Amino acid sequence: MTQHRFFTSSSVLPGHPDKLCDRISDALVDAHLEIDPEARIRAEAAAAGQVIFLVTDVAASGQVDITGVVRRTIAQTGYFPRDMVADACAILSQASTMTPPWSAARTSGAAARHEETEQMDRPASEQTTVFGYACSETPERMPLPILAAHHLAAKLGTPALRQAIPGLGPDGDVLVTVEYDGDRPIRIDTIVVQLQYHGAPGKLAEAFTGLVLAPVFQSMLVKPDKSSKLIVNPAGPLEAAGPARDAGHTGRKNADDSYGGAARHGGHSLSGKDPSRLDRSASYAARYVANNVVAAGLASECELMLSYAIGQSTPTTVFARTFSTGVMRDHELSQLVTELFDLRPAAIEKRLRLRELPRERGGHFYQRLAAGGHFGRKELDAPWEQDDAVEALKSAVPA
Amino acid sequence: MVTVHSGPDGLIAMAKGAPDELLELCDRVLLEDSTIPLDGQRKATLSQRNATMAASGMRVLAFATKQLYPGYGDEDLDGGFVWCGLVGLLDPVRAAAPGAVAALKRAGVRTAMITGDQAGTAVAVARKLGLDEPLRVLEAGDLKSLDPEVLRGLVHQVEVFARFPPEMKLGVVRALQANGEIVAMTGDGVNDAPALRAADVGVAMGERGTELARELADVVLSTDDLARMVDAVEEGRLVRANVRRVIHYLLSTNASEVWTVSTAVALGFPSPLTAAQLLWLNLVTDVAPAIGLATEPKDPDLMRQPPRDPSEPIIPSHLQRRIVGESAAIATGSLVAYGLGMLRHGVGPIAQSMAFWSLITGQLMHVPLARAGSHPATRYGRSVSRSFVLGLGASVLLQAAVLVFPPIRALLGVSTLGLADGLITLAAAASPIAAIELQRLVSNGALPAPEAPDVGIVPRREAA
Repeated sequence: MTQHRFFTSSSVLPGHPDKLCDRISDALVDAHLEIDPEARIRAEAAAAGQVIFLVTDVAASGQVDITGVVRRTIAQTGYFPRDMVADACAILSQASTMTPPWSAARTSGAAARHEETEQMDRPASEQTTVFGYACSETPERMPLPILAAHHLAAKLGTPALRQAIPGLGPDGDVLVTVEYDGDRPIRIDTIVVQLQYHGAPGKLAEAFTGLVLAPVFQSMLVKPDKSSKLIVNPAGPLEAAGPARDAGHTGRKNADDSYGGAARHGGHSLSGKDPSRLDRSASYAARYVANNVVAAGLASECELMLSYAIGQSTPTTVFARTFSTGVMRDHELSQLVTELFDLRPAAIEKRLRLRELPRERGGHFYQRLAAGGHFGRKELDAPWEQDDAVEALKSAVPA
Repeated sequence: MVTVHSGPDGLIAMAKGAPDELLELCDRVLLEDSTIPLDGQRKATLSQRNATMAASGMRVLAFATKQLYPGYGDEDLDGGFVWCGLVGLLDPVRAAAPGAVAALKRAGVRTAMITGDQAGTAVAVARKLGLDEPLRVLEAGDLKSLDPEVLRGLVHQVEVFARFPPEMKLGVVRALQANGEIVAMTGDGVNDAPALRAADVGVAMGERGTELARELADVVLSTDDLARMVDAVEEGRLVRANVRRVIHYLLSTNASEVWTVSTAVALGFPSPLTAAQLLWLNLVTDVAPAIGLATEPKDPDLMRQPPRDPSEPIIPSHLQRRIVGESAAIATGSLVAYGLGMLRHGVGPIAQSMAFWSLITGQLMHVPLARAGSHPATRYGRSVSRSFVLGLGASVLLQAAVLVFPPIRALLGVSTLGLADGLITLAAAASPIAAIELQRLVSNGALPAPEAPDVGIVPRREAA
């Protein structure tokens, strides 16, 4: 007998106040890593009304026009002028400079090689536990509910769509409920969107169905059908957008940023942190490993727990759960992962090229992740979505 | 700012302004004799150049041009400009300014900076000035979009106001005042006038300042040097401290005369003092010590104390109580001398003289106490100043004159005293002063107070 169950995940549009703060934080991470890939930065933003609050802690070899970056990020959001004007809002910032505990000295030759090994042994500077997840529900190896919600939100946020639906604002959220038969998604049960809209009533639902739903689900295996409930602005449209509507803060959309609640979560936010912060880099690494485990066919669902202790470079916990979908037992798989993947903090940075990506992508990398989810983003070609460890995994499995 | 000019090459729009704003208007970059597209990468590079220049404290201006054709509209000025370059202007911090900021900080005066510059430049300048770290910077785009209540909450914790046009200074001054702060504000331009006027202390720059700013200001710094503000604050604090000393002295000594006469009369005795004696006490005894107290030099820690509460009266209630108590004590001494005089010699000039001499001695002994305010005079920690010695000495000499010159004694109706009477008078005058000093020593913790309970507070460990 199969078991029917429902799962709901949500996503928000780029103009959502919390997302605006995530994007501002990551735009600052991008800007600093672009001028100095070795930069360290923490950037926390809060937004309320016409005021952006910013706390940055930076160690970088160059200077970033911090308020300029913030204003550009706001401008790119496309708020209606009555909600927020990038040039008119006030920015209260507190900037401090980190004193590097690490040695900034760069040497050459044999010493450099020696230093290189030492650098790779860099211990964790914080205690953290993160989870990475992958499943075979979708080609992206993401759970369908969060993936569908992100795709809808992303489509709703495109400039082309906003031109096509006059009066549509950049703020809102999307909720998708999927019905499962066992582990297999079988239908879209409900889609609820809450959007800012100053236009003719009634037009929005029609435009949403034609211009958003149809193209987004075109390539998906499970599509909304006649029985799917589609609810647009059940409580009327959002009157205002962004911080003019509600206060926002960096790191408050952790479920949206990861797996929509389908996997466990360490509770740490991702945005506003440079790659030396394990909250972020280990989350990417855990996804990378889980993704390759599923891609290699070792399991159809995998959740990897990584845990680090201050002062140690190797993780204190590497444990993979496969929910009885694996070809081997969980502790054997965990052992395999420990042997095959170098999960030391410095090795993660290097393998996933976390420090080089902003420069390679023209200064826009982490801020793109900040809206629309950090995982399963095929279009961003993030290294942790690549299944380049599949061969290694397969060949290591005892026949 | 965009202006349109017609020249040999036709119509040209020229723009100057904040680099990040102008960057948004441009889509090409001017090279030596050609232009290339301004892509995201180049924009980032230019933005970084701006940030680097700003971080050295330079005011950075960007320039751009655009070819126009007759019949152009406003929308033609909203984009499509060619980026020409950046110019950095250095307006160096005056050498004396960091010292002045530090001195004001020690004196409990918070210094904030309002500037039209972008945040990067403002932070660099603020660091050179030595404003409190970590610096909190409010970069306002358009302050009108800020609710005054919100601004009130923000000004409280901001050291640097960046990109604030001069006309917005008034809003900052008002917001600070609404928080109950006393605001001194410097300015020089015509635009500063409303804020200078609204500030509790408007400070105009004498050299750079416009006529209007100088007229509306409360203080004009003739050399444009902020360090002079420190002197002004110090001078103000000194005047206030000395006025308080003089009032303390004059009120307590005069009240002691009132106590003495009124108490004796109320008890049915003849007045211990004649009108001439009272006049002598008021006009001659008081004046020289009061002048001495009024010209006391600066206290070394005058500028290391927090500012006073603006709502505090010049004679706060604790000083009022002190004046009443101390004057009553001095009066008690002279009444005791008067009483003992009457016991030994009956009602008459000798008893009156004992009261007179006791009162004068008590008052003069009170001068060091009035100088020390609420501190014990013996533990005041300040050397005796010249003005104090001169004032007290002049008064003592005048009293000696009474003893030496019989005509003055005759005029005042007092007599010299015998040894026993003299000692009684001296003791009667000195005991209350000693009692006051003892009370001050105890309440200042210089002497152990009776049995304070021992509270087990563990000293906080020094942060590593």
